Amino acid sequence: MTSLGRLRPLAAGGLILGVAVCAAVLAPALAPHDPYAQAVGARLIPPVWEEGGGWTNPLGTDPLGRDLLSRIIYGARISISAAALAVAVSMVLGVLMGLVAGYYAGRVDTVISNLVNLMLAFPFLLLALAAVAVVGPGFRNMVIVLGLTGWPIYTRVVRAETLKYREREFVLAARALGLGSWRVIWGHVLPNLINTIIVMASLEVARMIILESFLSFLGLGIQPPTPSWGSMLGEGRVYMFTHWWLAAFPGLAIFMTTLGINLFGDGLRDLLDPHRVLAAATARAE
Amino acid sequence: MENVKLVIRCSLALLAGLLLAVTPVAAAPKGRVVAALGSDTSTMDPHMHTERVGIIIQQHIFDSLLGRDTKTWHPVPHLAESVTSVNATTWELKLRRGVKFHNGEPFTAESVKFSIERVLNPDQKSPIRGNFTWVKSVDVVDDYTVRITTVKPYPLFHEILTFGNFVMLPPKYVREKGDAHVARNPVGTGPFRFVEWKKGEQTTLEANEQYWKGAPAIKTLVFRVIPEPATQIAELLSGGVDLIRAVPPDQLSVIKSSKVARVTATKILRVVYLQMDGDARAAKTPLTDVRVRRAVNHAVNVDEIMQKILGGLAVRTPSGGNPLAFGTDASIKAYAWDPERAKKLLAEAGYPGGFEISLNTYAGSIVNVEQVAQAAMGYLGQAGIRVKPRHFADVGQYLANFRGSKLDGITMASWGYNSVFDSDAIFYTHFHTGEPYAYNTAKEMDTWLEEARSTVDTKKRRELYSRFQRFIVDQAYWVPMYGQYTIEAVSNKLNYEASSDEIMRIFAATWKD
Amino acid sequence: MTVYVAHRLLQALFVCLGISVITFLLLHVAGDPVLLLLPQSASDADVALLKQKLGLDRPLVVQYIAFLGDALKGDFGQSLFTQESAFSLILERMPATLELTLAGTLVGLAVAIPLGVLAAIKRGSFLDRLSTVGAVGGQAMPIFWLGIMLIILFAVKLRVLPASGRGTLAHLILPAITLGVYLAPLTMRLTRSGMLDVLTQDYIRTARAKGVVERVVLFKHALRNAAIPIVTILGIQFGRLLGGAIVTETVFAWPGVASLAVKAIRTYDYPVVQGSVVFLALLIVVVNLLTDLAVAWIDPRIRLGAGRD
Repeated sequence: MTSLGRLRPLAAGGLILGVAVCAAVLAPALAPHDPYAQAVGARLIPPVWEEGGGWTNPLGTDPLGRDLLSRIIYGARISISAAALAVAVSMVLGVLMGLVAGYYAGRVDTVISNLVNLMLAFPFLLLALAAVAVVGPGFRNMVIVLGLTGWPIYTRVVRAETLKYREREFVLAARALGLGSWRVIWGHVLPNLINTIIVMASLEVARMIILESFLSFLGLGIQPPTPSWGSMLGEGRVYMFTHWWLAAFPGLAIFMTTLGINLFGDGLRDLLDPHRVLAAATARAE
Repeated sequence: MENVKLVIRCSLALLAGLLLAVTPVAAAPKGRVVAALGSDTSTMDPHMHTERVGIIIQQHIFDSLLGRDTKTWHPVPHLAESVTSVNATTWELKLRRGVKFHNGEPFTAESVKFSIERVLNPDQKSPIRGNFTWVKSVDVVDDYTVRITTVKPYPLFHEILTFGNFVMLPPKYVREKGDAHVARNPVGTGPFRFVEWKKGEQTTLEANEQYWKGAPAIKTLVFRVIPEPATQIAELLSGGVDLIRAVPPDQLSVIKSSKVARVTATKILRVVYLQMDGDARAAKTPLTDVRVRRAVNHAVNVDEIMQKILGGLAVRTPSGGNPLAFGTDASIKAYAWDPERAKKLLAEAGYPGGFEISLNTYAGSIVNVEQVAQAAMGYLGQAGIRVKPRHFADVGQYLANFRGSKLDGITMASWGYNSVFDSDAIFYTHFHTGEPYAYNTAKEMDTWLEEARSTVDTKKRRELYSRFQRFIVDQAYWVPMYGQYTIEAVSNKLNYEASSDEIMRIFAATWKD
Repeated sequence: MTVYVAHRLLQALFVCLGISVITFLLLHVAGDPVLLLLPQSASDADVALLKQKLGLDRPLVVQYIAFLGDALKGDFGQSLFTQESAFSLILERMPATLELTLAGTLVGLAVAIPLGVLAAIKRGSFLDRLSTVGAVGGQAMPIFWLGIMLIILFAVKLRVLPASGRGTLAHLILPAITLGVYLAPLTMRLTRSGMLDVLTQDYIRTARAKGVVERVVLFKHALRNAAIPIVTILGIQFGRLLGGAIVTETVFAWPGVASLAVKAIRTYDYPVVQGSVVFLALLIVVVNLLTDLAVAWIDPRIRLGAGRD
């Protein structure tokens, strides 16, 4: 691939992602209506190009008369921020665990590796269900649950890489110079992993968006009336025969955003370090 | 010789003709009907569960002592031919003769005594036992006569004998085979006999051609478990199933416009209302002031909810009582929707800027519950009452909180009357001091409620309930909203109507030809 | 090799134990099934009585030890609702889930691997681009949406397949496709990247230089080596597969263990949840073990004792 060709997925992904992020940030300015404004008299209006639709609600309205377009724009805020936060939590946790396991090895490593296997073996959904049953549904709890279940993959990759790096000359040299373990990890090992971590994290955001919709399908994620793409999709599933737009547009939003993130992340990976392809892909366990 | 043969032939023909004239010529059961249910029953032992789906299936296999008239919904003779009151605490039942259980065992007074005592037996751990603690004793007078004595005069006697789970079981069979076997192999006197139960998947029944009321028109009846409503509709439209229930009101248009199925809906006992913690049972609250409660009543636009969200498939309940139930006073007027008046009342009560309050909801038997709740939140907000939603995704937690005095503020709840078409079934547990669901109590109400449930004088009871209903509406203890409908859809191949007691009477359906 | 196997078995045991503890704790903290077993109008005395009868008023530790003791004998207790042995309930529904996951995996592989290989060979071409977009699309698509769309298309509009239920092969088609689409994207991308990585290696160039037929190069050399990460991922994907099965089983009314477990969680039917979660986890662990062993077999470095970690 030519170097310009390499940039194409990155650019395309970046563009789509840019639109989504813009929607999220500029929501109040972009959305034509208040996403929470109910109008029971105007419920289930179809999109503008269908019979009965109009430009007041270009994408139609939901069962409570709320404008779908506005809810999708605001939904970008909720879904993307939930995903990003969840990724932040799991990334920090996972990277830390991976560094510790890989650097100190021995008993610490065994404990952490076993924990990783335990987490990976546990059916995520059942864990999420039980956890939400305990703490209750909602934005904050969902982010916590997603964050606490998403860390193992980072740990696996980071651990494997750390194991490799700890035997390299520059690390050994640093240790010989008497630098404390943490300084070595932080200053010498970690910088080499940043690229991998960034790529993983960006792809994980996409996965988190999908998981949020999964939880919402079961009624455990974001609660109404807060608009999130996942919960809108869940609410719309019974309406797929009669009012298809309720599920189609949030689904489309999820699809486009995820596509954008994946293209962007893939492009980023190709750009930063093409040899990491296999390692990162192998470790991206879910 | 020829003459003898002729005579014999003629006699035989005559005999055949006579026999044909005497035996009822019923069309033989034919065909196969598949009905979809959203979940499976947990057991085929009718005394050991309280699930609607279980009752629906088992009402096809078993019979109750009394049935219901499908026009007035009043109790009518079924397995019991007559019910007479001997004195205030004794009832005598005369039983139908010639009825047999599917295994050949005869139905007699012994079966009745056995079935009732089985439910009452504490070791049986029957979840419906609590509905029968008014029974003092059951006595067999003769093979087809039973006397039941009650602890106190019991006005709901007829109602309770129609109870969905309260069906007659064969004593010999149950004693011989044991409960574990009965839980998987039901034997009753009903219109269908049990063939097979694939747990979590489907139940198959076959017509009982010797049914005392006449064989059903359908030969094979299958109940399939399909949890997802969209899938149920797909199956109905593609001809995979013939009957579905609990159809969301918004999905009716696609069924109506299809050529293969139609909608059948009717009023049921379940009512929806907003409970208010007027006694401050859970926490300190503005709701202790009657003006605030009246304001809440004025704030919610119930008619718009009924028209727009339920497609008109609901009936207003001004006092909270369902019009189908005995004792509901139809002359009582509901609070009109008046957000301005609501704001004025709030200001009078000392809340000119409104206040914040919780609205508790749970995912359960309320049709379109999320939309109704959100609509209610919207209306309350317009009157200045800022609502904090609190949703229980699980019925268990919700019930625990309800009973445990933890539901502060406003709760959107529903009540099915326990399938008893009588005001006692709703008002006692919601308004009598000490009852688990009572968040609003008063001395006068306790007196009226106790009196009404211990006399069999219907005129007196009606008076008491009227007085009671006027009181609770005046005190605005709750926000009565509406009674729900059961919304079902059926294939155009069948003649079938929905029932007000939510028991799908597929045994009464016939083929359209 | 034996050390390796023993090591992995020990790990598996630890994992199962850990899962049973976590599940137990979460469930008992989460909720109370007693109220769901009785009608709404039950009195508080009735509730207390039932709680005592079910042994739910004993201290948690005692309950857990009792559970563990019985579990080791194969007795997970009885469902709180149907009084049937939890073990037999799970066993009854296991074949349905296995059938579904197997069919889904086959469909997924049948789509993913050829596509991945082709995309790798024709890297940068339109097909490659298209399959990447398709893969992302597949990953972005909510599984229940796909399931319902398939039902609408094939059962309602075209009337060629049954909408739901389990019975004939025809009933398996739509659910298997739904689950397969859920699996295929990641597998396809891994196959592609794995193949790409391998195809640039020296030994491939050598084989080509030696004049080996291209097809043999592809399958005997390239794919075999690319198989390692694919097989590993398949093992890990099994957990994800069960998650997908939950939704698929619900939409298609498929009588499997996943939907049993979800229903049990919602109703706090402790024995059934514990039983099914431990069972499913055991299954995942076994599958992971098998895939690790398969990888170890394929990769001589491990087989010869260099150790995995």
